[in-house]
Amino acid sequence: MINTYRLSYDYVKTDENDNITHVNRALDDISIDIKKGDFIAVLGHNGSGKSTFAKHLNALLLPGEGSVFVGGMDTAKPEYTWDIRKSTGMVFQNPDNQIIGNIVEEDVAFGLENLGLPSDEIRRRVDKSLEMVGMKEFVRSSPNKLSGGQKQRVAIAGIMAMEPACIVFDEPTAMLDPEGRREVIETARKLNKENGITIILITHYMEEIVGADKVFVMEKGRIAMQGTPREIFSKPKELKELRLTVPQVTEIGYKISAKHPEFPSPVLTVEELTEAVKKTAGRKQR
Amino acid sequence: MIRDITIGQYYPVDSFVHRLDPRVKITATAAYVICLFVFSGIYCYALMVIGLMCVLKMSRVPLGYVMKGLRPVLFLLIFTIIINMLFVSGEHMLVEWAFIHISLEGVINAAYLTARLILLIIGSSLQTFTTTPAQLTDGLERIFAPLKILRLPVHEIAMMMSIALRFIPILVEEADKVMKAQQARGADFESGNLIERTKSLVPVLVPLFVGAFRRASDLAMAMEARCYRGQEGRSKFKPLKYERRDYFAYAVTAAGIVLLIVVKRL
Amino acid sequence: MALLELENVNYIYAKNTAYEKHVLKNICLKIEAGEAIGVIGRTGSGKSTLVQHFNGLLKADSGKVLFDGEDIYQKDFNMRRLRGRVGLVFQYPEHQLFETTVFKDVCFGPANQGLKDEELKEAAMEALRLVGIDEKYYEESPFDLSGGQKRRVALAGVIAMRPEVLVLDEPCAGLDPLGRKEMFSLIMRLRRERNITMILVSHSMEDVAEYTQRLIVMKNGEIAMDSTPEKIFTSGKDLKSLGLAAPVSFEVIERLRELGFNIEGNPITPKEAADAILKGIYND
Repeated sequence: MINTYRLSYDYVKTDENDNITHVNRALDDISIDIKKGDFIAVLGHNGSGKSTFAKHLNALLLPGEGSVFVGGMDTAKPEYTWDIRKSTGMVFQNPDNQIIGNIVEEDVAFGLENLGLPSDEIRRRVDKSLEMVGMKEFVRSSPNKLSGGQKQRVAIAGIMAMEPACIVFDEPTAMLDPEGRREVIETARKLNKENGITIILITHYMEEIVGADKVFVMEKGRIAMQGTPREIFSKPKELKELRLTVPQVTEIGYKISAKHPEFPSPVLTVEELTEAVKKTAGRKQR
Repeated sequence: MIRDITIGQYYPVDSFVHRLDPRVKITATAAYVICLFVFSGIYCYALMVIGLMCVLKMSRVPLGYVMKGLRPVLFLLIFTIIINMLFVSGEHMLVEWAFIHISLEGVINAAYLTARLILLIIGSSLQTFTTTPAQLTDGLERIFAPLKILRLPVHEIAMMMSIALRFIPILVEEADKVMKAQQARGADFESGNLIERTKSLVPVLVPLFVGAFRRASDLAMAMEARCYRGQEGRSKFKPLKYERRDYFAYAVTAAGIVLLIVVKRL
Repeated sequence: MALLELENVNYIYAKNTAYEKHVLKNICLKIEAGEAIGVIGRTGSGKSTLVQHFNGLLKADSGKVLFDGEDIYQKDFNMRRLRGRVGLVFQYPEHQLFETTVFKDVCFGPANQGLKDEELKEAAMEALRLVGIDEKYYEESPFDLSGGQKRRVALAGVIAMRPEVLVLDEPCAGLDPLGRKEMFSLIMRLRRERNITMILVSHSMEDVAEYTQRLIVMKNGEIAMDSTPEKIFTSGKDLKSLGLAAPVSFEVIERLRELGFNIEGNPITPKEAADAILKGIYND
C-alpha cells in the first residue's frame, strides 16, 4: 500500500539573502513497507520527525531524497497528487483547524465537492460516513458546539466520505481529554477492522498502540526501533532512552517480574496482567 | 461584551423566510435598503414598516430578539437625534433657551433619520437572522458570478468569507483567553490614557496574530489534504435552486416597490 | 483561617443571551496554605471556570471569594496584587508569549507588579533558573524555542511574580511521556523549594492522583467529590459517570481482588501497585 525508499527530508532555514543558515535533517533514510489493511503505529517524542513523516504519505511534503510510493504512485509526480490525496486521507492534531464547514454535513461534504461529485452522491456519502463514525445525530450541528472528540470524528467522516484506502492520523488525540481520546482510537480501530482501512497512527500515548500490527519508533528522523507492540514494550530501557515509556500496566508487570522471573513480561493489558498473576501465583495463595 | 452583539447572527428556526433562496433574500434586502433612502414621507415609511413587520412575523424571529440588536447602536441613535434637533435650523422654533434652539424641522428631521436607521438595522439583521453564513456566501457567490468575466476572484472571496465566519467564534474565544492570561500576569487593559491602553494591547495582539497564522497554515494544509484546488472541477453539495416560493417572494418584492412608487405619487 | 475560601459561588456564562449557561453552582471551598490539590472533571465540567475565580479573572454572579480573609470583590481590593499572589498558568501557556526575547517576556509579570531595574532582573533570572532555561536562551526570541522550552518560559513568566498559590491548567497537555514527567517533577520541586500552594487542573486521574493529596472532582458545575485520592477511588461511586477513569493501577488491584486475591491498601502509582501485589500475593 505505502512504500518509502531511503526517504530523507531537510528543513532549511535561510537569512534575508536566501543564504542557508541552518539545515535540520527531519527525516533520515527511512525505508518502510506498509501493507493494505495494516494498523501501523508510529511513536516518537516531540520533535522526532514523526509528523514530517506523516506529511510525506499524502504528498503534503515531497521527499528531499529517496521516494514515497502510495498505491504504486510516486508522490513526487504532480500528476498523481490528487489521486494520492484521495486514497490517503489525513486527520490532524488540532480539531478546530481542520474543520472548514460551518455545519457538520457541509464540512463532511467539502472533500466530495472538491472531487466534483454530483449532489445526490454527496448526500449519500455524507450520511453514510457520519453514520460510520457515530455522528449522525449531529448532521446539522455547528462544529463549534461539539467536543474535541466529536470534532475529530467529524474530520474522520470527512475523509471516509472520500472512500480512501488509508488514513493517516497525525497525533489525533494530543489535544483531547481521555473520553475524546477513547472515541477517536475506537473509531480508528473500527474502520481498520470493519472497513479494512489501512491505518497509520502517529502518537506518543503508549496505551494507544497496544492493538497495532506493527510499531515504528522514530528518533532524530530515523527509525530507531520496529516490531510488534509486544516486541517494542519488551525493551523498556531502549524506550526510555528515546524519551518514551511503557504503559502503566506493563510497568507494574516489570516490577513483579524483576522479583519473580517466572512472571511473563511484558504484559500489555490489564487482562494479561491478571492472567499472569493467576498463573504464577495461583498455587501460593487462595 | 463581544458576545452580546446579536446583529449578524443566525437565528435557528424553520420558517418560510428561512427556507427562501439566499439570492432572493439578498436581492430583497438590497431593494428594501435602497427604498428606505429613495422614498421618504410618512406613508411610504408606514408601508415599509408594515411590510417589515409581516416578514418579521413570517420569519418567526421574536421581536424582542431583533430589538436587542439595536442596543449596541443606541448611542449612535441618540447622538443622531440630538445633533439633528440642535443643529437643524427652521422657521418654526419650538424651544429657544440660551444656546438651545430646537425647531420643528429639526424634530421632524431627527424622527426621519432615526426611523430610517432603525428600519435599516432591523431589515438587514433580519437577513442574517434567517440566512446561515454558508447560504449567504453561496448566494453572494452566485449573484456576483458574472463578475468573474472581469477576472474578479468571486469564488475565492466567497470561500474566504465562509472560513472567516467559521473562525470568528474561535478567535473571539482565543482573544478572551489571551487577555485573561495576560491579566493573570498583572496586565491592565482598563486604566490609563489612550496611548497607554493601545500599548497594553500588544501582549494580546501578538499572540492572537501568531495563533491566527498557525491556524491559517494548519487549515490550508487540511484543505489541500482534502483535495481542494480552487474552484476548478468543484461541485456543490447543495446547489442553489429556485422554488416556487422564491418566485413568489420576488413578485412580492416587486409589487412592494410598485406600491411605494404609487403611494409616493399620491 | 483558610488561605482561599469560596462561599456559595455561582457563575453564569453569557447571562441574558441565547447562550446562557449556569457554569458554577453554589461552590463552597476552602484551601489551606501549602496544600497540593488536583481539580479534575471532564471537559465542560466547570473546572477551568472555577480556578479563574481564584484570582478574580472571573467575577461570581453571587457568592463570596475570600483571599487571606479579605473579600476580593470589595471596592478597594487590590486585584493586581492578588494576581501576583495567586499565579494562574493557562492551558498551552506558550500561546501567550509575545515579547521579542525570552528574558523580556518573563519580565512582563513582575514589571506589571511594579518591580524595576535590578529587582526586576533578579526576579526574571530566578524564575528562568527555576524552570531550567539556560542563560544562553535569554536573548533569543521565544518563538524560536522548542515546544517544551516555550512552555517552561511561559511558566517562568508566572513564577517570576513569586506567587504563593500556583494554579496550573493542564500543564502537560501535548507533551510526550518524558516531557510530562519532567514537567511534574519541575512543579513538585517548585512546591518544595518555594512552599507554594499548588492547584493542578487536569482530566487525567493518573497524573493528578500521584502528585496531590486532595482531589476536587467537578461535575456539571458542582463539586461532586472533595477528598483524598484513595477515598475517591474506593468510594464506590461510579467514576465513569463523572467522566473519569481510575488510574490503571487501581483497576489492576480491583480486578485481582475480584479474583479472590488479598491485597492491602489502595495503591495509586504503578510502583505502589507492584509493591502491594508483591506483598499480598507473592509474600515478598
